[in-house]
Amino acid sequence: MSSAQDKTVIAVTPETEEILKHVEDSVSFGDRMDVAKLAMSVAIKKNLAPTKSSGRKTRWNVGGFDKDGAIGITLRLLFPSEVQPYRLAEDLIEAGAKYLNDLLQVDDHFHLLTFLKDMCPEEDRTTEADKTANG
Amino acid sequence: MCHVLVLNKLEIEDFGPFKGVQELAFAKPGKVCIVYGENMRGKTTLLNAIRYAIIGQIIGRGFRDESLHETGNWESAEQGKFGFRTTLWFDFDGSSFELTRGCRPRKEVKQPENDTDYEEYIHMVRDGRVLGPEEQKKDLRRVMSPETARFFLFDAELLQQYEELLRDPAKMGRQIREAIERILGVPVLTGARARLRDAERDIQQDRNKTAKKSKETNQLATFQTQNFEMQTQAEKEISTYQGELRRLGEHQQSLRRHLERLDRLGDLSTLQSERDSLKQEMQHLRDDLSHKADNIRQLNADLWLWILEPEIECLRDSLSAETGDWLKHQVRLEVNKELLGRCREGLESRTCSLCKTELSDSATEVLQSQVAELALSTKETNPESPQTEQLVRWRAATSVRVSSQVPFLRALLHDIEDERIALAETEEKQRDLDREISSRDRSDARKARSDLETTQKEIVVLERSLEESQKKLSETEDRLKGIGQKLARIGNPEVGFHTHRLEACKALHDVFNQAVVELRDRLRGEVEKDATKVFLKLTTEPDYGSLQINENYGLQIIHNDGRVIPVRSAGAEHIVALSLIAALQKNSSVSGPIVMDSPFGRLDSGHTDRIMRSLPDLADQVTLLVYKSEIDRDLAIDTLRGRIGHEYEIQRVSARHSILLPLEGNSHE
Repeated sequence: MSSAQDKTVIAVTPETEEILKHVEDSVSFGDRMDVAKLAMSVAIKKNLAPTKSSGRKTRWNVGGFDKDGAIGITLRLLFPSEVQPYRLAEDLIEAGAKYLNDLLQVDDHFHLLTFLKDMCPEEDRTTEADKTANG
Repeated sequence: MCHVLVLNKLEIEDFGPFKGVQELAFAKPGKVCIVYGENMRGKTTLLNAIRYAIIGQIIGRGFRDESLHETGNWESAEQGKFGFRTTLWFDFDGSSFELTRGCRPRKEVKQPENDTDYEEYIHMVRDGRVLGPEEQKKDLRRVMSPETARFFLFDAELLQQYEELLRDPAKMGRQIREAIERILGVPVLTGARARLRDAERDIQQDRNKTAKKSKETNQLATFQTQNFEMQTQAEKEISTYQGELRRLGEHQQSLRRHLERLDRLGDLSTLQSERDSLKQEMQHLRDDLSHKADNIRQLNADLWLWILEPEIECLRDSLSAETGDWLKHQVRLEVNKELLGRCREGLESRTCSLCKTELSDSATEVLQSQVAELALSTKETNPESPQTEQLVRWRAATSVRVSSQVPFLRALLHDIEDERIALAETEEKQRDLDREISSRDRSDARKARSDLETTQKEIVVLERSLEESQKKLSETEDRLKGIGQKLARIGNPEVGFHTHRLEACKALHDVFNQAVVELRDRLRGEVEKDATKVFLKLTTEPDYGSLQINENYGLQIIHNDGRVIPVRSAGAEHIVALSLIAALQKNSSVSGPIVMDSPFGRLDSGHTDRIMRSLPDLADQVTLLVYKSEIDRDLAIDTLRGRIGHEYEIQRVSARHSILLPLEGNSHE
């Protein structure tokens, strides 16, 4: 399969669309597309297997979804053997959305602060010098 | 006999900010349960949940009944789940009870809008057996009545009401006096006395019927019947007047309180300007929140990238050496391409591209061989991995956005949380002010004063009517007494039999009457003694010698020199009120738990410390709902030394969602 056959549009299943909408409603997002990108990153971060699913509906053009090409490059970088990054992006969005849905099940609300704690833990700000000073 | 009530566990569902199902385990008798929570987290709501669980009442500020609709959790309601529930597990007189109360929307109502859209329910299980409605009612009345609950479950506002009553016993309402007597068990005797009174009437009727049968007593009996009717009529009037006077008295008190509050709050324009400044503050908060939400929206567009930044950084580290080589090679390639172009240009124009002089044949030959070499080198591909190339491209594509803004995003989210709390608090303040302003709009001071005047006039008229009816009753009773004596003198044996019964009954009534007086005196003495004992433990003033109780259970502080202290500080009032409650607990016919909401708010550290030390002695089971600045947790642990049963913290999830979280480390159960 060559990269020429990669997807030109990003499609999602109705279930995923619903989850993305729920997260969008719970937290300030400019666009549902930003939530989809977040779902993709969550899947990568949590090493979730890309989900192949049927019944997807076209949602965004790749040109709009990845205006500066950063998503394509990121995926090529992290998955060097992958020749169809946007197809992979679609599958990762599905997998990441399921993860987000599990977070929503806890109390039906997406808490961005809790989510950040999990995804981007705060660094220990103690410097080596501090550690030495404190013995 | 003293009945023992022990609370074991409370489960609440969607009650106020307590979303979903949450649990509070009470401390065992002899120990204290402390619930810490900052303002607006739900301490008073928790007290209300306990109160609702026991007596089915929710009391708001100013002793107003809270709305069922507004008590349900707002977040759950937004998600279409309406109503709330409390389940209380407790032991009473050796039996175990499970009491569930709650409310849910009526079947036909899909979107409840007010209290009429709800139905309340109650289930009670005693020792594993479900109780019927009558049994439920009977058992609930035995356990705790709404009148006595005020001595078990109280907050600073209720305590303040006692302080006012203790300061001015004349104001001590009949209801509270009755409630005090109820808790002390006086109704056992007064109830029996009332039954004897009824029995006396029945015997009189029996005697009257017998007297009517005999010629010699018939006339007297008829006269007696007429007087019975007059007596009943007078009693009815007295009861009506007393009821009306009670109602007017309460109305008068509430008007006085209203006027006092108006005086305290100043004029309407002050309230309105305060409300305006709150509105401005809220608008400012809303604008700021909206601005911060916009910032978050913008930041969230790149959140996907920041999440992956550590993974990319990790990759960059592992590829750093390769990246350097790849870049060098790439630069060489680009330079060679540039050179090749220039050489080709030179060959075509037969001039040097640098100095513009004409090329000699030998120079052209050298240039041709250079072009061949360069052409070969530019056909070489970069031998490094495509990942390195992607990394370089990735850097170029994301250079503006990388360097994670997550700490900034996090700070913004924390700011938003704080501002939302501030907004909710300000909204609450504004609602209070709105209520105040609208109540003043409806009945301003002039109207309240005029109402008070009218009420006072009505009271005077009613008191006069009551006096007349009482006089009428007294005259009738004298006449009946005279008729009774005459009947006794006539010597009809059958009538005489009833007369003997009547005398026995009267004698018994007198015994109970005397017993009531003696019990009241004894109880007042006991309450005075116990209140003094507690007061001396709690007060920090060494010159205070004792407390003195009066007829109405009002308490005065007596100086060591025997004189009454005329003016008492707010702290002293507070301590006196607590002492009364503790004394009532000790003398109560039900030994029960006490739940106190923010009881230390107006006390200095000396008094707080003394109360903390005495807590386990105030009641068998104590639950404290406090804010952290009211008592320091470490100090509480140190002061109570192992007498803490459970500790909880009310943690905020959102303005409409709090969690009751057990604190680890100090449970001794």
